[in-house]
Amino acid sequence: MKMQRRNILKALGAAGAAGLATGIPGLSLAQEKTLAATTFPGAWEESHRAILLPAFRKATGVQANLVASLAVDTVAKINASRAAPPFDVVLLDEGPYLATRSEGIYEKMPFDKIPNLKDLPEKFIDPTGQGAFVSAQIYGIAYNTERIKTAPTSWNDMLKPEFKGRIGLVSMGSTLGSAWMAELARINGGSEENMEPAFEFIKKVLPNVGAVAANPGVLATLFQQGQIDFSVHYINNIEALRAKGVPVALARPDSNWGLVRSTMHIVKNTKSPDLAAAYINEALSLEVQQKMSEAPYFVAPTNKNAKFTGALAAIAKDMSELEAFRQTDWIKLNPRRAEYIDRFNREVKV
Amino acid sequence: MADAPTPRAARRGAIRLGQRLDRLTFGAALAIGAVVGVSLLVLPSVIVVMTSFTSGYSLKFPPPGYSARWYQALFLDSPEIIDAFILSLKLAASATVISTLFSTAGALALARNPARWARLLDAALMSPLMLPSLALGLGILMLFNLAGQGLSFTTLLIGHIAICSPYILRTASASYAQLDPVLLDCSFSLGASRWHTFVRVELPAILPGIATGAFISFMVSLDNVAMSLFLSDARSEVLPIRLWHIIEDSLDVRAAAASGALIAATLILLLVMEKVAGISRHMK
Amino acid sequence: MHTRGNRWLLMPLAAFFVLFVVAPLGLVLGVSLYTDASMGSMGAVQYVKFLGDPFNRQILLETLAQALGAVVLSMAFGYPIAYLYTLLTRGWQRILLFAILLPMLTSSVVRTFAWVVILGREGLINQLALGAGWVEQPLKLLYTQGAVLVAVSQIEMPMMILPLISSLGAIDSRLLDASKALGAGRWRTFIRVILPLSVPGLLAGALLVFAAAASAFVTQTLVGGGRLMFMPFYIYQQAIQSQDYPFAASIAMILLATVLVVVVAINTLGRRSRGFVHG
Repeated sequence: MKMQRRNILKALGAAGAAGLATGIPGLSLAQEKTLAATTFPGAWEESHRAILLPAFRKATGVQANLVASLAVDTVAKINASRAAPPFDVVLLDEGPYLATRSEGIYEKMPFDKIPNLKDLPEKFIDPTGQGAFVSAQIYGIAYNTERIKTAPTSWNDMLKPEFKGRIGLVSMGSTLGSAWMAELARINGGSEENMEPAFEFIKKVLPNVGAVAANPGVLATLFQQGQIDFSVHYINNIEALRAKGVPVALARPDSNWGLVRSTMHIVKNTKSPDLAAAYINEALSLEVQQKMSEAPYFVAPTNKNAKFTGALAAIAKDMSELEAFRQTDWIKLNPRRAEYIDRFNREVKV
Repeated sequence: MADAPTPRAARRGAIRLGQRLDRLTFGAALAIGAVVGVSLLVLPSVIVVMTSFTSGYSLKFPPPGYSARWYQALFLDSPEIIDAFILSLKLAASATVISTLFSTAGALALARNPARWARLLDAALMSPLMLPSLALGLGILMLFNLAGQGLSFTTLLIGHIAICSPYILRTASASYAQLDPVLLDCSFSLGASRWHTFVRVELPAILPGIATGAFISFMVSLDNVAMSLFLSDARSEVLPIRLWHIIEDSLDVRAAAASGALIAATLILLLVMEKVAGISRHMK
Repeated sequence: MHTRGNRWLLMPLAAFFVLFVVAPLGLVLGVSLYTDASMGSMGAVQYVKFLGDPFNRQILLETLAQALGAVVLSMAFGYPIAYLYTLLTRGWQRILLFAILLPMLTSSVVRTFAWVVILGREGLINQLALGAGWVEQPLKLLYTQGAVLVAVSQIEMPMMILPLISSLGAIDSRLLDASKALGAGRWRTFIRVILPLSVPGLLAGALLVFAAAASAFVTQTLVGGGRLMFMPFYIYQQAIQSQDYPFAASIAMILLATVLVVVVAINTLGRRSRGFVHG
């Protein structure tokens, strides 16, 4: 009995050592042939895994490695390690992209390797060639249709006493949070440079707040768990929830729908520039753009050949109509965004 | 006169009643405490496993129906979770092997050494057990930044070795300290060389302690979040962090399935280790 | 039985320790003394910044309060389990030990997830309360201080139970026999003999639970939600998200120092209490 035990232990030890010997080199070799891409947490990640990754794999034979990360966090990580960036191709929102455009952390896109760029309206390609717009995101009033029978019509409805403990907020570290706060500032007499009216609103709505989410993904799960019934949200997250059977819907605020755009970039010093270019190419391809714009994600395309259908078409017939939606002036917001993020976190802390 | 109890008998009766009451209340309190305690200990795991078999999309408990679909989704349709699991396994195996080598050697040198420096060093080497590993993770991150080194599997491995070694040091030391010095004397007086004594007498005696420590170290590495958050290359995620993102960002029921699978795997490993190395004696 | 050769066995572990435990902690201390994120000049500015701001002090206090609460709760619920262990036969003891070890060896993410399921709006507690008619609307349980406290206590409970089992197991059964023979009832024996003799185990457990609860990053964040902030997440946020290493380092040092103070205090108490264990 004792001999048996000892032998088993010896064998385990040997196996462990063998694993160590083969494991580490094997891992680093594999990384040469993969692509590290970022996406946003929540429905964005779902849609990329379901649509973009398979398309990329079909085109290049490579399985991309997808990491969910908010744009501000992605940029922070790239900045922390410029010589050996942790990602090859990144998905950002307009805010961080505009703020870091002149910092030299993105490669100029190789136009010959990204043929689908020709299908983009010119204004969706960065003038310095460092990135391209891959989508437009629409946000509005998200609410639980079972618990709130009549759709709210205005952001100010959040202040109504009947919604005590049912409102959800999202951190300004996410684009959704920042864009929405800018919108709140604007409709209350302020602007991207004067966000006081927005913070006043937050102070007033705090008694009604049920939970604060760190990113849109968390905000969606709060609806799913029934922790909140009313918040701002993107159409793609809400439609994805509906597809899962959660009773939510998106309503148009009287101040109009909001619009946020996302961009993709190749990171400077990446070891896989060709794969990164191919990734962006796939993201801009008609096939991917059309699928993303259909159920259940309804992400508005930037490829001019893609058609608006379903719930997306109910909001806007085509790209020109999107222009009229409420957009954020990121250039004005960016300089003080870090300060706003900090202030927001302090205001909402219990 | 024989009907009424004598004062003495009455007092004895009262004492006995008091004793019975004392026994009963203590027993009841203990029983309630134990039932509540054990339920608290065990119920959460049971609930997770039950939830993982839900047929619906949400984490409603009790589940509306039962199905193995989420396990199917986990094993067949979640390459990113499987990748994370494999990475975690590689990391845990590597960290355990290296920690075992370092700590066993250390235990052999320190465990029976009564010198003051040895006792102090022993306490110091075990300190990572008590310190917030976040602070250590931050420190190691800054160390690598200072040295101009980017994050990689190696940096993560180093962090994990730092927190795993103390466990093996502790159990190996305990085992070694229990070794009866008479056995060593016998071995030497019978003419065995130092090396021979080490291999045939000392090593087998501390092997169960090493095995227990290695087991704990493997699980600690597999489960660790704090070190991995600071020290892992953003390109690849270890399993606990991947699960965390799933729970926070999408509340996918696959997280419950993954949890159920992990609980099952841990239980099986625990039973195997008990059979092979009798670890229950060394865990306390 | 020590030849000089044994010193060399220590080399790998000791070298690793100095390089990757002592040096990093020293670095944390050093970086915390820079005055701003660009690390230009030195000074204790970061500590003043932390301790001078009520927002930060609140975070520290809430973290400590929660850790202390976890110690108390894990003692209250863990003691009966440890006591039960001493009463069982060897076979049942093993089963109970597995029940204690299994959670300890499972990831904190998995264990915290269990609490998300239990405390959610559609979770166990709300279903019970609604079903039994105690409440009309589901209770808000998740994302509260209480939720974090209960979850952390349950998750760290095994750390309290194991030392207690050791301690209780070490009590000489003759003392219990003597107590019984002298006429003390169950309660009296417990309070006057067993409890005091188990103090070393209680203290060892308190130490482990306190340290673990103060750093229970995952549970604090998953169960606490976006409105509650504790020290561990604060460190992560300042270091990785805001890239303000000096401030993050100072928060880490303050957390470290606080845990160390409590650990030393408990250890000193432990040494004093040895008095009534060995007499």
